[in-house]
Amino acid sequence: MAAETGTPTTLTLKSNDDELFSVAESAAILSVTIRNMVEDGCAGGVIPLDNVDGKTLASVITYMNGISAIPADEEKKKSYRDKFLSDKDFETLADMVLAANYLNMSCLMDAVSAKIAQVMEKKSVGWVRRKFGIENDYTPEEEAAVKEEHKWTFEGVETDDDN
Amino acid sequence: MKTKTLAFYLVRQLPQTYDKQKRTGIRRQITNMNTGGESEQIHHLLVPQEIITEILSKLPVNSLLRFKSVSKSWRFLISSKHLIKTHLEYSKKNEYSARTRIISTTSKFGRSLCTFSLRLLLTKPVFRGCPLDFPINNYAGDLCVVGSCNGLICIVVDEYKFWLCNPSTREFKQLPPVFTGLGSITRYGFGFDESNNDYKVYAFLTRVFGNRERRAMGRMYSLKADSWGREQELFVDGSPFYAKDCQLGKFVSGKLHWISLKFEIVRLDLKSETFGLVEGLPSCFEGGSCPRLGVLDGRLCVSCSYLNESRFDIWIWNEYGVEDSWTKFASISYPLGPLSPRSSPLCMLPDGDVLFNRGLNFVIYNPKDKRFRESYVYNFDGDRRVDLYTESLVSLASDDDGEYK
Repeated sequence: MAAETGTPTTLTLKSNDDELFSVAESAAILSVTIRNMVEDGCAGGVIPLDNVDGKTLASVITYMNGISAIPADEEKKKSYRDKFLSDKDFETLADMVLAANYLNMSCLMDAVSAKIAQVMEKKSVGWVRRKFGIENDYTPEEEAAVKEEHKWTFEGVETDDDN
Repeated sequence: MKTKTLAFYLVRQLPQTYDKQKRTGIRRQITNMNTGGESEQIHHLLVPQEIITEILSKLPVNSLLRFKSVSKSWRFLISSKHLIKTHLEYSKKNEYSARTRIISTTSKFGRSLCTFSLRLLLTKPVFRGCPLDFPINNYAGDLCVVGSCNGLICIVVDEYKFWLCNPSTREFKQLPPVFTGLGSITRYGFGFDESNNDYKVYAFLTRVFGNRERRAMGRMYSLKADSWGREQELFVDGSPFYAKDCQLGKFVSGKLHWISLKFEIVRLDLKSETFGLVEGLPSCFEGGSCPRLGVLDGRLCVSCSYLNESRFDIWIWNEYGVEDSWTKFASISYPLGPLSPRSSPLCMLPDGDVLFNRGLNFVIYNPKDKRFRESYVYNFDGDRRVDLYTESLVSLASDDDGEYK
């Protein structure tokens, strides 16, 4: 591995739409999935990541490089994560949470799911159904009853302006 | 219009090797909205429930209660013991200032319960608390906060009628009457018995017998049983136990704590329902006076005053049960600051500062540079007990197995 040659080892990752990415092994092993492959000696050639598309993988690699450049300082890492996620829309965040889950990156998973929660916080029930693709399986009476039970939580909800 | 949904991605991106056992999510068909009128079916949609749980556990209680209306499976998930627990742990650890609220009473037209968020207190110098939607409002009698645990609050009305409530979910429950006959309820405590997953209230009674003899008695209420246990005479280490005045039990490590008239720390184990003495008291019990118990950062603490030197010290028990693990946390000189020996430390803030309550004032004390900053709640009752709670989904109703969520 890297120690033998003195130069950092680089891994090649392939997205499910066949884009190739080079990334330093030291950054890529933030993903437990990739780390296991490296440890098992299966990371020699191209590592196919069948569940991540190129756009998302590019973003995840930016994160891997960014966060691994920060020394052990939890405050700085947190502010990097906040900044990294600040301009991402719901769809991108959804892609990232799934990629983080697949790649087994707990720090990214925590940060992205917290960001999704922050985006959802003031949203309407209809918005959540649409974004998560959930079918309303309540009868109108049942739904009215559930809403009535917690009716104060419907105050101050954002109107559905966006898609 | 192209509408992407998380569910859509989940179909596409589920790892091939994904353990089928873990596919416990929502199974149904949805219509892909990409194609407008021409509906394209995605079959047997599998949403990994861990991801949904991961996201939901980070939402505030208010949003979660609203999202129970999303679908039956979301309602089920949001009411599940697992989510309630994960959510509470996350809130305590990561959203302490935003999800912790302070509760006390206000008395504009009689007493009412009143709360505000810790974040408000940390950001504004003067503010008002907001009245809590509690069945007893604008009450002419007495209303006092006994204690809080996992987002539940115990309240005592007129010093003998107990209530439990979860202010965040607006769930309330009046407890069965504790007491009839001669005597009075003098002290209380509220805590959680983790091994039995049960919330318990303890009430001390002073009974007066025919020959004017007074005896210390006590009874424990269990939420699971929804009843008060047998009344028992209180003996600690063979001698009758009387708690000092004006004390509410401090809940740490599954035990409630009071200071006795003999200046000992007496603990009540909520699991075994037995009393005992805390061995190895901090040295301030020797030199200092008026020891008062508190809880800081989940640890028991004691403040003792040194009247001659106009200061009080706070000692923290770092490792519960380990005798010599008490350390002096702060030594506060009071003629120069807003605090007095009667100011009770309420909590340790994430940055290490300590929040004190002193009547209508809240004082934030920095133990490093010994500086103070103050906030004022103008509609609080200055003389009343104040407590903190973390917003939670913990329910007062038991499930089919008799377990509390």
